[in-house]
Amino acid sequence: MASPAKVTGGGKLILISGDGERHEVSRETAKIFRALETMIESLGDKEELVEPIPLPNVSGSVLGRMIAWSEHHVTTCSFSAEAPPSSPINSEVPVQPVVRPKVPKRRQPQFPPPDVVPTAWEKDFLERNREDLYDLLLAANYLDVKRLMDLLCARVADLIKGKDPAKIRKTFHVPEPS
Amino acid sequence: MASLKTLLSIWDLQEDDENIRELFFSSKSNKLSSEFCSSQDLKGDTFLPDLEPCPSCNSLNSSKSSWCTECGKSLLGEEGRRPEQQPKKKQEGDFAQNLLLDDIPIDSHRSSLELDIMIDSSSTTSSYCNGYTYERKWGSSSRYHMWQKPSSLKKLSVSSIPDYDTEMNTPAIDSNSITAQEQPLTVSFIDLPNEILLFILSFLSPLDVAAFGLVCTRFRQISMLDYRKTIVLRGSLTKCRLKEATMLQPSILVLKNCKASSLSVAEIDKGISYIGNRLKRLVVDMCDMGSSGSNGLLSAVAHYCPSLTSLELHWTFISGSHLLQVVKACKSLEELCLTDVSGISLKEWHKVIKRLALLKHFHDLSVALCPEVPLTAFLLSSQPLLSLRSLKIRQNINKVTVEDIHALLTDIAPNIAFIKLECIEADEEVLQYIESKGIGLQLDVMVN
Repeated sequence: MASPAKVTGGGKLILISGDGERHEVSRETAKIFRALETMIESLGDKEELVEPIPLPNVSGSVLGRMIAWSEHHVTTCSFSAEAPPSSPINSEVPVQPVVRPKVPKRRQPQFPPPDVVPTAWEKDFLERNREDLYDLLLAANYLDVKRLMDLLCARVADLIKGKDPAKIRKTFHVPEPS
Repeated sequence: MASLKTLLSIWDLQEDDENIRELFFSSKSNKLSSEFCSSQDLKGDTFLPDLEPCPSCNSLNSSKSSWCTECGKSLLGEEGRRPEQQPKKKQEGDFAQNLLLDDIPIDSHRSSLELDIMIDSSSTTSSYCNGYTYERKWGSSSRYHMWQKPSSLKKLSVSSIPDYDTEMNTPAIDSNSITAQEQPLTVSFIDLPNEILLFILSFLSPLDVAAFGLVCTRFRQISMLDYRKTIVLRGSLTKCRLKEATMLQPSILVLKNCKASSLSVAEIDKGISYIGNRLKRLVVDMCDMGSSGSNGLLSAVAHYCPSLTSLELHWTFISGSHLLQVVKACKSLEELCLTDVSGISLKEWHKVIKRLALLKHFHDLSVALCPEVPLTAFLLSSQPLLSLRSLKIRQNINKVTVEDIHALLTDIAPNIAFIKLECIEADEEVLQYIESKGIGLQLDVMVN
């Protein structure tokens, strides 16, 4: 089930999933996977990469969905993958556009981590993949897609929120301690 | 057993192994330390990846990795598969383990029976943790341990529970077994590696983390690794209580309404020495520990906790020289909040601010109800505080003039973005001036 890339520009890449499915994606799309980003950049302007990229840890169906995710985020461009989530401190301290001498980038403590609010499309995406959330989580971790990782983890965290240990055990099918 | 090894690997990795070992030995639970000791001998328990010679340079590589670690050439065949094709089913079954094991370069110089496998720091774990608090470093010296035996990974359906814990031998009887059968590849929650679980915990409140920790042994150990661990001490503080709290190595220690006047300086010093480098934030609020006690606390913190980032002191008496010690020792200090703190003279404020200007990450200063006037100290400071972003000063200033603010904004703290001043009197132009600068300001004028 090779999903053709909609975005033009940049040569095509072939990704091969763990079970041997071939997926053709554009270079821009594949860049959303930060695990591949450096490799793609090092390719330079070469038209086409002949050798396929093996992704042995990702199954074919999961890879298809990961590609759907990255295609969406390439085409919409509404969300910048690199933008840091706004913290309560940031909202208090407006960022100055004035050019100033460079200061060392400060590390921002985030207590708790900012709430990750999914867009409508992302919500729908998560809803569609409710069944194998954890496969997707592992794949997002492997391919290093930070935004998806945040959203998925926030979603799993929602399942834990406000529950007592017995309920958590039931939700996640953790065996009772003997 | 296996889970413990993993826990070691995802412990805060800025420490070296000896620290970790020490910590496990010093742990109260005998079970933990005995498990740790015996894990050193139990080599048969660990999964050793098959080694495979590289066709071009003959060095040994993991059969799971796609590239040779020595010459960088692909080990895969032309169709993107290994020449000797593995059965497809097994490849699928190893899904989760692949994620942990794949492309881990096996150092050929090391003994093949070595328990630990060094992993590259640039692999997946570092990336999603980096943006977060304290920039946990998953350094290259991190020890990576297998948390599952290969035998338990034949099929990662919900019914096959990896034996990460000897206490849970009973396989789960899953209510969703129908879906599990339809999709035998589906990973369940407990199959997730500890790093991901730890990341999930960062979205939860401490209460939820505590509930999560009560689910099972493995989850408890993960929840104890949650980096936001906070310990709040209230009431009378004895030597034992302080030691108990600090032995847990919290990253945040709050002393609230503590009665510690019976503790000697040496005892406080000893107590703090257990926390070590882990402490990031210290809050002392309304504590009755005498001036020598609070001073002793500060000098102990300066000595043992160089990675402190935030210090909050309320309603205490401290001497300026001890505050200066902390500011000198903690190079990564970011926030300093003093409320109703007496005992710091103007001269000492000068020294403190001079030191603060040298700190690279210091960005938040909040001073309230202190008898001496830090704004004056600010204005006389010779070095600009380049990284200061937020300044809050309360009730210390009688009158704020435009000149003061101008000096503050141009010379002293050029990067400031937020000022809050509470004063008795202020020039009317001050507000307009600051508005024209486009800086967030809260100016409260107290009317007598």
